Amino acid sequence: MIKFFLPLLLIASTAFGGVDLSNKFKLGDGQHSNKVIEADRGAVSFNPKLRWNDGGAQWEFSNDGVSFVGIGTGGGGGGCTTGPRSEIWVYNSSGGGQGSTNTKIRYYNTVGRSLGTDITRTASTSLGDAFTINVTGVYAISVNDEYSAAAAVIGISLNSSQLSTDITSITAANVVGISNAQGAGAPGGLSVTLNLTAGDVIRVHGGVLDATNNFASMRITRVAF
Amino acid sequence: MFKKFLLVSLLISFNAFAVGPRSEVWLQGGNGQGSGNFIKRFLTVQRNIGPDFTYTDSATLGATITVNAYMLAAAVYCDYYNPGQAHIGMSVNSNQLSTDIANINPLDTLGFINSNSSNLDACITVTKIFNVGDVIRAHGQTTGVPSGTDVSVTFHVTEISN
Repeated sequence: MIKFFLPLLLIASTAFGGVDLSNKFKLGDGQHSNKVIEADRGAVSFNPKLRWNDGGAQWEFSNDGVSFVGIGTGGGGGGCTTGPRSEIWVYNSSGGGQGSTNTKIRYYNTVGRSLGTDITRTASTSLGDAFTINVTGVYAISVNDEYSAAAAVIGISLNSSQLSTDITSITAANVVGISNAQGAGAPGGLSVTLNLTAGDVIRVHGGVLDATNNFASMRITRVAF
Repeated sequence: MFKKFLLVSLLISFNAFAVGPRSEVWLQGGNGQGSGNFIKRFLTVQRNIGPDFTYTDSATLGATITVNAYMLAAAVYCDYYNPGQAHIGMSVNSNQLSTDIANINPLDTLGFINSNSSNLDACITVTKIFNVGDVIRAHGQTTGVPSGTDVSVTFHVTEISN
């Protein structure tokens, strides 16, 4: 068996730059240039890659084969990503409300933070604000809100089409979470962390919330791949 | 063939840089408690992804989510009580399953909150490191408290990183 594989190993050794059967696999031609390991996925639009970026002097990876992210810093690893992560934080500053068409969807009038490209906020006073996920991953979502006249229903929906229906009555599979403000004029909140897929749409979905208040806020942060 | 073998080996070795989805258990709708304790049960499994959690439902013991890998994870539990206030909490590795979450060993308490009025949902959220074998429970106040049954009742645990 060894006699059979030995010639193949020698050929592969030349192609890959060197194989030490006991401890090391070497890739490259001994020159300063990028070195790439690519996953061949066949007839699809992209192949994931691992790359030694020679100019940047770091290992990188890419899920889509195009956009590379460094693997850690310095001489070692320490993680697959470098900060900051994508994050959107919106709130109301004497304004905001719920959509005039989508009457249970909150919209906000102030952007506190908008980092990265993994989340797209589509702001609309008629449709309410929609937060579209561009990259599959794990996201943490926090909302706070209130209703000055009574306890409020505060919720987060996922891919809902029932945008003028109280979140307590929409299809259960579209309900990410529901909480209540604990009384009239008493703000409440909800935080949820979950896997989201590219194309998913998150909305702050209530019952009746104040047309305008300064307690309404929403943060969505990508926390992991 | 050999090149593919080496490539596969390399990709396997990079498994530490795993991509999503991470393990996640998402339970929805209340279904009472274990018959012998104050541990919540749930109606619907919205998600049960990946190998790093094991969800078990028992008519006597309530629902448990067992952690199968060392990880950073986020957990949230939302519930309510009709007709009054309720302690809504989460415990880890507790053996005081018929004790108010407010009175169990503090080392076993992930956190609890009070829903202030009848039928008002309250949520407790925690993000922390869990160890292999940890058992997470939605832990209430007493028999039938909290009592939420509808879609607003949620117990949701998601792995963030290893």
